[in-house]
Amino acid sequence: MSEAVVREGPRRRSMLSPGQMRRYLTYLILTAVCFIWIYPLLWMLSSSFKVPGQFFTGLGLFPQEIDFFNYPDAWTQANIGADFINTAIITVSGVLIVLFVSSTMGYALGRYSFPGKRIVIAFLGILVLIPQGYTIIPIFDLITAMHLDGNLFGIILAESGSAHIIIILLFAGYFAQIPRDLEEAATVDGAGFLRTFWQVMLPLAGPVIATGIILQFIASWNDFLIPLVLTLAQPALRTVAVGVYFLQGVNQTNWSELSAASTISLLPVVVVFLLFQRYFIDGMAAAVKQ
Amino acid sequence: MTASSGMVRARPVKPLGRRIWEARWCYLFMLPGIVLSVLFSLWPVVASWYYSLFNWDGINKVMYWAGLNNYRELVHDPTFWADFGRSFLFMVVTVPLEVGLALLVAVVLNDRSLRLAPLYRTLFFLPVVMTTAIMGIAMQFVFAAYQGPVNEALQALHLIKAPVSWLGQPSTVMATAIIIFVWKWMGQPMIYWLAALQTVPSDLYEAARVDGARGWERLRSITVPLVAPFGAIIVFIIAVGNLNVFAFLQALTGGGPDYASETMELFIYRWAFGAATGGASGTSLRLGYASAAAIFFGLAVMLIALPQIGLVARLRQRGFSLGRSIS
Amino acid sequence: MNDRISRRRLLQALGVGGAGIGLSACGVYTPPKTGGNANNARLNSTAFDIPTSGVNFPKGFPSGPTQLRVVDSGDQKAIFWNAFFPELQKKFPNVKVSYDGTDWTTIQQEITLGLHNGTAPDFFQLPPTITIGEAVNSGWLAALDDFVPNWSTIKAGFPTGTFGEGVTDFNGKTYAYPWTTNQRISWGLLYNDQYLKQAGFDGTKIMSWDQFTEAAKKTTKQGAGKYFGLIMGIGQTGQISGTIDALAESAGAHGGEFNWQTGQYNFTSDIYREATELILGMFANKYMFPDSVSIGAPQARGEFPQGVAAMIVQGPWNIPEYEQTNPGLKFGFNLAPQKNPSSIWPFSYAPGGSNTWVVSNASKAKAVIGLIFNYVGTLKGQTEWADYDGAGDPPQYPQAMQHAKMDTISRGALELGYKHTVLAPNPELKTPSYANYQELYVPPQPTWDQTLVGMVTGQVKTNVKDTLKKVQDSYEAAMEKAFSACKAQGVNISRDDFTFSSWNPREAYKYPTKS
Repeated sequence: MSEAVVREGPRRRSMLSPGQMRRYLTYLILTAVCFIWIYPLLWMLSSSFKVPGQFFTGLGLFPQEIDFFNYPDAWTQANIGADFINTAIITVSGVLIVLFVSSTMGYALGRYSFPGKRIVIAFLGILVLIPQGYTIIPIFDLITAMHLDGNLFGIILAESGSAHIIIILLFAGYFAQIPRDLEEAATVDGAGFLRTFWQVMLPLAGPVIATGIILQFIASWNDFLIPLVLTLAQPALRTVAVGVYFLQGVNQTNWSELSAASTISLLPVVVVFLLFQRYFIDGMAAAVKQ
Repeated sequence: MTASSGMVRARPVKPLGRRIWEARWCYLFMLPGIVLSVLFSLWPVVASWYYSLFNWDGINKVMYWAGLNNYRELVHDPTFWADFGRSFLFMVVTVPLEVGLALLVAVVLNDRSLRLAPLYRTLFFLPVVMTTAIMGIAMQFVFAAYQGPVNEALQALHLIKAPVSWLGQPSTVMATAIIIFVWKWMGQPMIYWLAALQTVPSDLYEAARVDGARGWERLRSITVPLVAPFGAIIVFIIAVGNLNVFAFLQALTGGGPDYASETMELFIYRWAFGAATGGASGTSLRLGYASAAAIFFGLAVMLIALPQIGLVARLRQRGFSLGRSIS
Repeated sequence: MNDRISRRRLLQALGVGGAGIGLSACGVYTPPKTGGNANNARLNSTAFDIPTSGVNFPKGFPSGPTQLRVVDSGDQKAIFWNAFFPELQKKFPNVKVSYDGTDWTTIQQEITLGLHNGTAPDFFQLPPTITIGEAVNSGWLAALDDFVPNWSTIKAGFPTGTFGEGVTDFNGKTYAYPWTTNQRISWGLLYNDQYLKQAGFDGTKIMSWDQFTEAAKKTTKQGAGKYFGLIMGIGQTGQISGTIDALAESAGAHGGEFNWQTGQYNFTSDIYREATELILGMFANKYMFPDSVSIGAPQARGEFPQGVAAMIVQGPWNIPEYEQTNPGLKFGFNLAPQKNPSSIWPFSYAPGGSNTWVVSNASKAKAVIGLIFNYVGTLKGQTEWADYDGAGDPPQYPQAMQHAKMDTISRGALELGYKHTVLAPNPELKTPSYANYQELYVPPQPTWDQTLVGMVTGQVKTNVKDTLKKVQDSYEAAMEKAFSACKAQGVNISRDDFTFSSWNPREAYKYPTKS
């Protein structure tokens, strides 16, 4: 794409250098593509301000009449407010658990060899291939048998429980390439396995931790089937994704409010991505570097 | 607590028991992850094996023994095979499109002189986090036959004469779903590619530039060979993910029209929890049958994926050190 | 600002306008700031007169905190509950209500898993895959006689056909409570008055099938791509089959899909073929809104008032919604088009009601439920139900409808319902084995609805007649298969139990009174 631009560059007489010219053209094309790319999201945003009777008025971005009530309505009456708090608790706890589980496992797998390592890797590899979704009934029974069905912890555990193989692999890869002298220095200082991990290795893994936060945050925030099934009997425990789903009726749906609720649900993920994206890419890069 | 350094060096001939004891911290570190995986990933599969041998609706206290009847019925169910094939078709088509487009965008955005790249990066990533239910509705508008912008654009370009109901025709629904899917998820491999591209040392480019290599040549001779090993992993991650498209298709088409966009996951879900409407149009719940389908499908995925794991492992040994130990 | 907002503000200031939610709202109630609901705000300012005295309070009426969880299929019902529950909570501050009006797929999952797991809501609607008999046999349901105050009086006040042994009653006790009637038009014609008039049609007169096609043709032409003759949402299961069933039944396919006179399916009848061809023709000739295949009912009914189609075949629950959210729309409601408008066969409805609520045996809130169930069974309660639910989910008491505050179109729809519906026979009453039969019955694949979608989209290649023959055969075979499965289990049931040869489809079926 950008290459075609370069060749065109010199033909146009301007005061800009070919490099600048190419950059501006790239921006132009990117902006146009991005506008089309995020159009459905802009449409969702604009629809959240439509009065209920005018939702189906097409794809224009500017509603004829603006209605601000969809937001407070979604927040209070449709209970998205309470769902939001649940989701925040589930997501934050889920991120913490997954980071803990993946970093320890990734550390052991990435930095050491021990009997049975291949078996563990094969086990993880097989788990990642299992189709999800249909196993929901046994998971439901398991949570019930553990008496976790009346609280958020059951959902947190079930969501954190599936194999987070990508995050484990990222940690493994990252820990594997940390120079050995660091660890040896720590050992000389008298640090044991646990302290070496906790005080030397983990603090170095910042970029992978950021990556893990983003990946798991997105997954937990948007996860649908597990919270749907586990909160069926407990509406007070619902997450935003489930709450938004419940805004749809058989014959009647308040679409504007649904859009407002969806916009609300999107915001935290966007904020987290904006905050962590720099580390995110660095983290992935660092973990897979030679 | 000197075990850590001991076990690393303890490669040669030590009795197994001793090696295990020396690695006790490793096992302890892996314990939480393994316990969670066994409970929430492995056990449900084992339970499904069991369910698949019964005629059971998932609620009744009585489970009628069915032996292999569910499997026998499954192999004669044309919808099952159609959905089975469609799942793989979906994966085979979406993965290259998604990963390829992502590479293209990533290469453009990786240009360090583009200072606004993080902004565009975010914009391209946004659809990934868009609520699936709303995405479904929005896309029904975008691809609508009635004043849908896609139809209007194609008509303006004289590519089609009359508006097409892209999501309402069995002949076009899958292609449309694939395009929308690639749109929604491209942001993910884009991030992976950006990460991969960051690992290419910039002095290599400098050297090439001094040598007078043009952009395309640089891309071909430096970028592609260096990021190729990542490609295998990215393809693998995306391919596995693209077999799990339940929420996406459920929101977009619900598997319709007339099951023309139903994949395995929707098939399983339909039989396990299916939408019942009562009357003559209702369907009954058959968790046993759904479990049998899931197991069949899971085995097929594994059979197809195993050689690829081998491939990834080989590339890994050659290319980079994911999961490598320091011994 | 503009007219719409200020109007809404005004309603809110007056304390009657809600927010237009509650159509399928969920969650724990907070005491309402506004009360009522925008949908019926114009019509309702009813203050609920929930009795605090005058009924014999069940022993141990809750003094401590009580949780009440309610799940049903929402829509119009949610409008009543969203107004009622806050009042209930105000009167009994120790009661906390959580209500979900949701879709059937969710009810299916929620109730199925809830029963399986002992966490079912306190009162709810059963999904169609679980019969009341099955639920009673499994011990999941509570008998209303045991905890609803004055139950026998309440029960006696309802019209015949509301309750029946084998339907709502088992072993002499009542387990299910259908306080809304099936005597309604579920599939009627909503039309855009302006479009029809312009094409030379009068929506207030019942159309013939030929006129229906003609009107669709003319309005489509007149719309020139801006609007179409008809809109449907057949992406949702049951929409196209429901429409065709309604057309066929009022044309003389007695009982709809299943003919209770002959004990056989009606699919091979000429009427079914013609009704099917009528709707297929709408698609083939492109009189249909072009996205009708990919959208569901909520989208279709949301699109209609935007002026994209002249007609939609849907229920009367749309009326208050359209009036409220699309004040500029001139529309009407009438019977769906008729094969022969001078000889209209009534729609038959099953005993029980349009909605049947049951109570979980495990519920700890039975005392509160008793109070609610008592209240909705009084004339006062029935009238208030009618105020909110109008023609969409009318209450059982015909008197209640006379007192209800309703708009003219809704009242018209309701009167059509009374005029054109009769009670149908039902095998549940003839044999107690029906519950076992239902458990062992496996519906054929593809279903009738799937076959129709297949015909519309061209997946089914055979002609209509042969296709309907196939549908008929597969449904008959499924029945036979269930009969032999029953026999193998020692359950005695046969086609005779599904045959009511003496039934006159123009009259309500007279149920034998059981002692």
